[in-house]
Amino acid sequence: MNTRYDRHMKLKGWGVQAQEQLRTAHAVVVGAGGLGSAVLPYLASAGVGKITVVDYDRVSLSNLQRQVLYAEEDVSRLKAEVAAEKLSALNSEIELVGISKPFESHTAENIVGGCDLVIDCTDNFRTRYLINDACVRTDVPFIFGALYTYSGQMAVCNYQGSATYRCLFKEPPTDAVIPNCAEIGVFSPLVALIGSLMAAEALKVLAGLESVQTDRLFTYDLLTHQQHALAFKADVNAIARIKNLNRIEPIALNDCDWNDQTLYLSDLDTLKDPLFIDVRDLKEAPLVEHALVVKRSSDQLLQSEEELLNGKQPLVLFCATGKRARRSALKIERENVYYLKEEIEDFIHYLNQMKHD
Amino acid sequence: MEYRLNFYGPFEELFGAHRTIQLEEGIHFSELREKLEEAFKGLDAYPYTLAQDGVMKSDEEELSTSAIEVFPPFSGG
Repeated sequence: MNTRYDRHMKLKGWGVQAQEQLRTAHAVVVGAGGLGSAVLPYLASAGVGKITVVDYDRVSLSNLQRQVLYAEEDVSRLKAEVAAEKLSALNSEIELVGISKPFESHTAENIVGGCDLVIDCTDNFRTRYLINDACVRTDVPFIFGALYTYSGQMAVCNYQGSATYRCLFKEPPTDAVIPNCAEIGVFSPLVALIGSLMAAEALKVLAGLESVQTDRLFTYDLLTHQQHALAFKADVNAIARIKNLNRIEPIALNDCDWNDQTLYLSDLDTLKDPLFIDVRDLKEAPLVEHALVVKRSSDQLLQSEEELLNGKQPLVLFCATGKRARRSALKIERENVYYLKEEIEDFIHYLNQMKHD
Repeated sequence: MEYRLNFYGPFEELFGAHRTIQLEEGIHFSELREKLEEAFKGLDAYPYTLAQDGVMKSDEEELSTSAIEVFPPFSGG
């Protein structure tokens, strides 16, 4: 064994066997955003033999404040692809697989089945519950981490019969009542803290160490440094219900910001004569003035725009980040309605380039 | 008796970090949920877990006299 892993090998309780176990391990990381950026380099540098990165999203400028795996030159590129490239550069001895597709109910069990550990670095409940259910059904342990402004949560689940996420929070919220980072912000050092805790537990699981912390929800508040280790128990009924389903049930919650209506800038050239609709408040800056852009608030669009709503021209709704546009697009019952999941500054840059072409 | 309530995450913003509530001694956590959702409008829209003394409690368990912790799930990542 080479010297790359020397500082781990010297640790009491680690040794050749643990390192060899890491070399033959396969971890699936779902979400390559803030938490993923913090977790992934530790897995790769420690020598986890195969890492699969699942993320449909692309790098945007607002990601760079906390998603330290990416650089300015990566903006607009697929995160799973960029992550795989950067981690290969960090450790060429391991295998990296990037999956640039959403984690969906019909593919979930295929993706996680047979791996040694899933690490849930997602930013929405729909995917979080899917990961729970897929891992329970395939007997794969998983570690989840989640953030809320200055506070974070982390737990190891489904490890050697331990409790699962549904043992803590039985069902997802009925609607997206708890906002994600794009809506309420997130303190960047928090992703490093919670991501490090997740990476520590992940390496312990994969290396076969005995000190894996199961059946506890760890919470940390970076404003006050208050922390909790909340003990919780496996709910055998909740686990059995998921195991006994014929197939994974889709999660009836639309807080994942990807669906068939999602467009990125790179998708726009595939549309024929699109009309762009600015659904931000009327005076919201920066103003976007272009022949292909009209300004309609979400309510206006629904109430009085029969011409727009009855036509077949592709409508692309946009706002500052894509969040409000997504909500508006979901309400419109018409074909060819999309929303732009991009920062408005990037869209303005795109429009300016169109003017010059 | 008067119980201290500790709210976290979005609950802290909605209801304040620390509140109190008058409850009969020895009630079960299922009843506590009903009382909380009556007293704190909007709480029922969220999933949450209840704990005392650092241990998550199930609906059929009885309250002790310790402070009650109310934890919501987070979704950011």
